[in-house]
Amino acid sequence: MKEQNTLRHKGVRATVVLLVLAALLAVSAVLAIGIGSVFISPSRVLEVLFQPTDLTNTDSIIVHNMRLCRVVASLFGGAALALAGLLLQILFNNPIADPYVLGISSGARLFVGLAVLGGVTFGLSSDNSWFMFAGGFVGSMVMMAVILAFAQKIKSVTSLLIVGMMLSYLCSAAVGIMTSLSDNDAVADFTRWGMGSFSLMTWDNVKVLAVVCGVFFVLSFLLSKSLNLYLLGEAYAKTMGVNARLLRFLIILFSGVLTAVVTAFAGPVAFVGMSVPHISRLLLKSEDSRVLIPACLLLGAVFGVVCDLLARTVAAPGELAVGNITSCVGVPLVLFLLLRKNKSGRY
Amino acid sequence: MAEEKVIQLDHLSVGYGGKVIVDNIQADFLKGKMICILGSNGAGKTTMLKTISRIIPKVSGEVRLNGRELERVRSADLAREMAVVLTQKIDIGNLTGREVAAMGRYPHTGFFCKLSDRDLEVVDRCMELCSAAYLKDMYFYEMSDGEKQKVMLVRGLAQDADILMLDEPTNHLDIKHKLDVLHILRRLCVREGKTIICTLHEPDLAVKCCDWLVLVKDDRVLVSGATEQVLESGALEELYGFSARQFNPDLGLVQYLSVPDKDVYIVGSDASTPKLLRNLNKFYLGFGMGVLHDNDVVYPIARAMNAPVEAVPAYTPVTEAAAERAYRTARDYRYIVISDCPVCSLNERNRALAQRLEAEGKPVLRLAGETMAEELEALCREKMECGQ
Repeated sequence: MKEQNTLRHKGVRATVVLLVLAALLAVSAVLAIGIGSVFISPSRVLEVLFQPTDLTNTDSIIVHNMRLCRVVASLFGGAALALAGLLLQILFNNPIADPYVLGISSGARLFVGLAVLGGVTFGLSSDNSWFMFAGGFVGSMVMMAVILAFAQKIKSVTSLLIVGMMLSYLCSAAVGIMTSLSDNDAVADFTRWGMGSFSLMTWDNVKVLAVVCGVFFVLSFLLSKSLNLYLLGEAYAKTMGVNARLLRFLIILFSGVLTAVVTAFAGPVAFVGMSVPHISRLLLKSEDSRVLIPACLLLGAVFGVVCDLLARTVAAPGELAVGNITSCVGVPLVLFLLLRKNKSGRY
Repeated sequence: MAEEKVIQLDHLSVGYGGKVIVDNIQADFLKGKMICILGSNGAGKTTMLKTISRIIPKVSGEVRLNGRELERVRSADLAREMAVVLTQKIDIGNLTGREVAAMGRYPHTGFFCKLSDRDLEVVDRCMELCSAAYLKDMYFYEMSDGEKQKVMLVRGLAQDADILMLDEPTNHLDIKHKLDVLHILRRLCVREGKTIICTLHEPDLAVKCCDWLVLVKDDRVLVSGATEQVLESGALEELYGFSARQFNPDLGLVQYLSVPDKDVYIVGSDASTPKLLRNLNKFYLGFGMGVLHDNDVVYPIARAMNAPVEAVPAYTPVTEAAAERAYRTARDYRYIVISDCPVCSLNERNRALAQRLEAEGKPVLRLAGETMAEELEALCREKMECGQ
């Protein structure tokens, strides 16, 4: 039957897309490890990668001590932001929602700033990864609470996005004031970090990032059924057995944690959360979270790795902020979405 | 057989954020019945429906579902016992009609909502039932509002619950699809014993399809009862502020009132008379009628339009007195229309009446099956110019 075929067709499509994305991720990761001031061929990368660090071998040192850390960070960072974006888009029922536009990244940034700059003032170590993550988490949750409070009053999502932008500016101003008042070495790093960059990642950071991401990727995937039902809106979700209040809380918690953990170590990286889910939807022609979540994770990872690669190679030996690269890709996409909205009356 | 109460509302007050919209509702809904909540816009029909389906919390009082307190029913169980179709607009992109409809099966599926062949069968059957099969592969954003509404209805049916709650299921639909949807619901109710609770804006359709009516007005339930009882109580007229004859409960007919001017007097009736009456109404011409038999279909229509009608009981000859009264009334009218009906012993006095009026020099029209006359349209224009 024709319709049976359509469903199967979608299944096949999803499998193909996921496999291609996985392959793309592997290729881009290997290339990203290889490309840099010293070029290492892909075959050599693979060879070195699966051996323990050999301190007598330059390639091994470059791969293990310099590049791998950064590639893994950008991989998890991209995936986490993409998933956070997808979750927020489902929550707000709007494809333009994402942690950056809603100001959640900025909130996290402000609080990480407070934690790092303030913590140093009070004699705390700024190196503690969990400490930074905690700062980011508090920031993103505070921001989320403010946005949701506004959402109670403002029903138009577009207005809500403007609110997010305003809050974002406010946070930037606060960070600016803070940096002006702070007088220590942390400020230089903090400024670079404030533009969004994976360059300051340490293995310590990456471990926290990977653990938190791993856990929350799985947890988010387990919500697939409820997320699918939430597509029809909260009222319908309730009538089909979803505990809407709990689900909303979990979406906020998960997207907040994912945004926080990336922002804590890499600063606010813009537009990944908006563009990746949208491209995934176009690729899969589906809204089904069961395939959309893995697709977003894979594509987000590819996106993160490639953008970070561009950030450190385009102006080599100088370095661009990855946030700037993702913006260059993301902004045209948002504009495209807005234009399409006017055309079809959707969103 | 004792009638089973599926839903009991006991001193229930519903509203938003503690603000009561409908107060102190007392009603029981029986299994296998089709129940309709009627009320003007903003009366709180939807709020009631949402409260009974636990989408919003009640303000006070109690809702019982099959004897259990509604709050104590687990969400997953509730989803299998009650399906809800709302009117709110849904905006989802990349889902086809079939995928949206298949969501109705989710409460019956496992953790990862894998649809079995049986689930897909149910979905397809429901699509056929709602004549929505052509929407299967269409993307949701490509559909018209009516088609979306249809798909959401299919989704509700596919949920296969014993109770189906629908908020204005006929919204966005044209008259044919309105009738179709109500017919489908009626059939589910009669054949499968499902309890259907819906809100409607069309009292005429509600009367034709529903067993039970709940009328809501001014923060309270005016009446909750079997359709016939409600009709007899006259509460329906009160609900919409209809004057006494604007709504005819026997025919389930809603009519505009005729203007009170004495423009056309119609003697007798024929097959085209109902259309003539409607046209007179459209051209703002007042009319009177006589002498009819009270089983004539024209009789309740003319009465619903609030026109003066002279009538005698069915299957009895037109009396001298009735003909005389009709004559006195008819004399004041501008035009006389004589219907094209066969004459027999029961209505021969109508012919005499017509001849008498004609002899007096009244302008007489014999429409012979036509439903409007140039003279009458001219009369309408004349009235308009005089600013009447």
